[in-house]
Amino acid sequence: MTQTTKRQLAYAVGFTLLFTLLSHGYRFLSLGYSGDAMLISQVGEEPFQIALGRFLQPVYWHIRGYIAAPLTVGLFTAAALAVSACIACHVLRLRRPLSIALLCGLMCANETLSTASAAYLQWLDVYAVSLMLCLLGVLLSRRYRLGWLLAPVPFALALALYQAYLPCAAVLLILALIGDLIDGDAPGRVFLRGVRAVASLLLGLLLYALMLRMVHGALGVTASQDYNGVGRVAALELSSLPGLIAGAYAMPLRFLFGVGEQPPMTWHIALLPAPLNIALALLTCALIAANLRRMKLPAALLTLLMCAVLPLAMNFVQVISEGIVSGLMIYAFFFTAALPLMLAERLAPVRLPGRCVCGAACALLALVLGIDIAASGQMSLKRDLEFTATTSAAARILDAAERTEGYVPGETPVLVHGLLSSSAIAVERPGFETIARHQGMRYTYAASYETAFNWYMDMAIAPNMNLLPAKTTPTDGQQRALDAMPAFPQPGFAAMCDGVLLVKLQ
Amino acid sequence: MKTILRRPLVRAALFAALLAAVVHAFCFFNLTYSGPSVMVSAGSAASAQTAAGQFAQPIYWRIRGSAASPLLVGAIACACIGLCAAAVVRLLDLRGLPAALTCAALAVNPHVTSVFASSLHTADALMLACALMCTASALAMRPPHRLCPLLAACLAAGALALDPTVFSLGAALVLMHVIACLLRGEPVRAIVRSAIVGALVLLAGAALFAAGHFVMLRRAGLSSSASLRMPRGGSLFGAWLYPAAQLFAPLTAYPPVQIAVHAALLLLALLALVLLMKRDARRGLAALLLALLMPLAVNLPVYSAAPAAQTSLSFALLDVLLVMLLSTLSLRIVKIASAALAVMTLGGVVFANQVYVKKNLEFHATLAAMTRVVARMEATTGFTPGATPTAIIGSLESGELSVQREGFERLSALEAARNNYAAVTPDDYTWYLWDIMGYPANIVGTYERDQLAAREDVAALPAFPAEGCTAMIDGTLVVKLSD
Repeated sequence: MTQTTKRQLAYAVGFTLLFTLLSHGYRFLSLGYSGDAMLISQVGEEPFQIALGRFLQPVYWHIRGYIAAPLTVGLFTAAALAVSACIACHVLRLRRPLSIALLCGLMCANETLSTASAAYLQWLDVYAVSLMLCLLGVLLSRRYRLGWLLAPVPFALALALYQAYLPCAAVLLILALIGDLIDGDAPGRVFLRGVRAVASLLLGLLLYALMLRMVHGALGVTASQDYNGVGRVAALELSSLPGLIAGAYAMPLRFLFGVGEQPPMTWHIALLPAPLNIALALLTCALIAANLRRMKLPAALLTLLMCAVLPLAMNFVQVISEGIVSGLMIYAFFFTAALPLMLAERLAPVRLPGRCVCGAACALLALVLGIDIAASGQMSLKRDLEFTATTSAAARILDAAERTEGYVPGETPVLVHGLLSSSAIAVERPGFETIARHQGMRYTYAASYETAFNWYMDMAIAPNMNLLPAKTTPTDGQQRALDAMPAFPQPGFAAMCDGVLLVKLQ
Repeated sequence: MKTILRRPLVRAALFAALLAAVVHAFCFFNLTYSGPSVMVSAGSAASAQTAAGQFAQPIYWRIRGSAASPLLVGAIACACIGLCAAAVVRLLDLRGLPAALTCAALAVNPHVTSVFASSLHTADALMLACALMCTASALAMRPPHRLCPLLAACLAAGALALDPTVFSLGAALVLMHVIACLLRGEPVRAIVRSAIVGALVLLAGAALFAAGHFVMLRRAGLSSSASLRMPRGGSLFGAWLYPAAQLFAPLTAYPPVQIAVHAALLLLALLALVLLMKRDARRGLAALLLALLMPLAVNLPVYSAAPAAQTSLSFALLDVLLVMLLSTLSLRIVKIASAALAVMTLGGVVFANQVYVKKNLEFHATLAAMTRVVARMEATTGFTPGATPTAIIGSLESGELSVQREGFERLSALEAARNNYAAVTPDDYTWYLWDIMGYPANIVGTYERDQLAAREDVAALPAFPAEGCTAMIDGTLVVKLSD
């Protein structure tokens, strides 16, 4: 390892740790479980994750621990992100500390990881490890002659953890190929490398499919047909493919540039304003044009072709998920910010206009980073406040339950009707309204939905309550009693009916 | 600056302190007060501390401040762990990987986790006691100046005055120093001399401590609540076996790995001793015998007001001993062992943070429960906050609501993580109400509470959360938390 490489890696590790601390430090050092994250202990969750196709997650939990302790998750995340950043900087041949700092920052602090950190803590490190494995596959395929045959193994392992990070490998491979062309590699050789890269990704998908079938067969698990499961992939019709591909291609453009009147995602609104992304895209185009001027025609055409393929590469997972995409699946959208950095790095020695464009691109990326870091801290704070507010509300609910005649803690079945998040006391905190529009952030209480209420009670405050499973249908008698009862916080929201304690929250 | 950072002792201290700070950070940034640490103001128990032989603690609170601010406690405790590591590395003359593993063993172990999880209010004082004892041992047996043993005796006395249970740490370090000298092939006369100095310093420290304890008791007009208590394990053989068995205890996130690694390391350490015996029979035999004595040395009887704790920092020295013995073998074996021990350290990191999360959840659960209890108190006719004498009978811990959290069962292997509520004993409620809730509760003394608890009308009261768990009896509000 040369001295330059050592310095490059040291910068990458240092900046990654710094930006991870800045953007997620509060989350890693606070309780703040809320929503899906209320599943603090994942004991018993193995079959669900295996059915979703994430069969390596239970194996990973043995290492990380079944209880998602925020700091442990943080340490594992930081370590995986540091490795990923080192690989990305190395593959893209970034040398300048500023480029390395910005890339590391954008890899640690972006809206996918911010929402994951605030609302899906248990999976944050899983995502980071999945990303690391994807980039490791890229490194293998780039570094060794037959590496493209080895790369499918980390790709398949990454898919077995979480399926949405493979596009990052595709993006990095394309960016690396563009870098090769700019650095003067023959277009024929670069094209061959591109073919191998595609083959490598396809082999990874194939290997994952084989492994998944074996695991499901061995454990007797059926693939989940849920919105985020893999069960429907096999039923994908060829006739629907063109539409799905077109949708997947358009999604990043619609999402980043705010095209169309309706938001492209149901549960997630873009954090970055569209004009900022448009300005960044224009500067990237300028940087591409400046680089193209130094290239021969075949290389320039191949570069343009690869730039044109980028939107699909960022989002091909949407084709697999039959058009469904969420805020947790779009990490590659933000990872593509490496393109202007890579182009700027290669333009750095040229004359003044080019340097101005480089500087402007870096300044915009720094602004993006600042917005991401600020939003990440606010999201974590919101969840932490929600946890505290839920403790207060739960104390009142328990008090009423325990004072109900005939209630015996741990014995009397308890049927909770409705949600705290939709109750009369639910209100969005002033000043937090914009954050509430991101993935997993719209709830106002930690016990956000029916299952999360049970998780909160069982794992957070453990009041020895025999809660009936979430969404248990009340009997006719119980339904009549519920209809007649007032809802929380009015007196009488808890009452006994047919030996069951009814608690009406909404 | 660079020159300073290159010094092995500085690097050992920094590495151990930083590692401890990173691993235990969750505890320093959250309210994880639990068990005895619900007495956030540690100085409130100055008399009890003096009576228990920890008479330097009230003096220390004057410097640190009585209220245990988690971040300050953490910073001081981590610095002390760094000091421990530097002293042990110097004493045993460790370098490279063995030194790094020693630092890791001292920064991440069940004792440190247990102290932070249950005694955060005094954690820095307890860690300072360990640091002083380690420094005393290093100064006594590897003195940079001939007068150092005198200073060492004073430091040992100071360590015992903060926490008398660290005597076994000093004894274990004397033994380990002798083993290290034997492994290095130092002259027997020099080894015997330094061992005698080490033992004399420890005894002199103990004598100074005893004198200081006597004077402080007389001055405060107290009688000692401490006595010499049996170590864990009971009998002599049990006491020897207990620390060795702790090497295989599931106080980690990876119990099977811990068992396999310790078993393999024990076998390799035995092999190292056999090879040493082949080279030099007498030295090898002496090292073997002393190594066999180590579990006993780390688990000596304790002078304390409470029974011996589940773990002690000296137990972590068993791992250091294994590392030391393995370092006599080939470098490849040391590297493999280091990787295995690094995995075990990771298991310790995961386990510690799970315990801290549980403590923080307990804190919230207790707040929710005690809010309801206080509401019942305030709803009782005749009760005036701060004026009405209040007797809390039983505890939430043994009450009807106490239940183990789903998925947290494995943490019960650590005694400090067994409780379900932050306030465990009836006495804790005084401190919980005053220090945590800031509630002016006029809690009656233990004697009066026991008298009330023995009454039939109190026995007839239902326990919380049933209606009627509070009642005014002879002008005292009785709150019954459990039968």
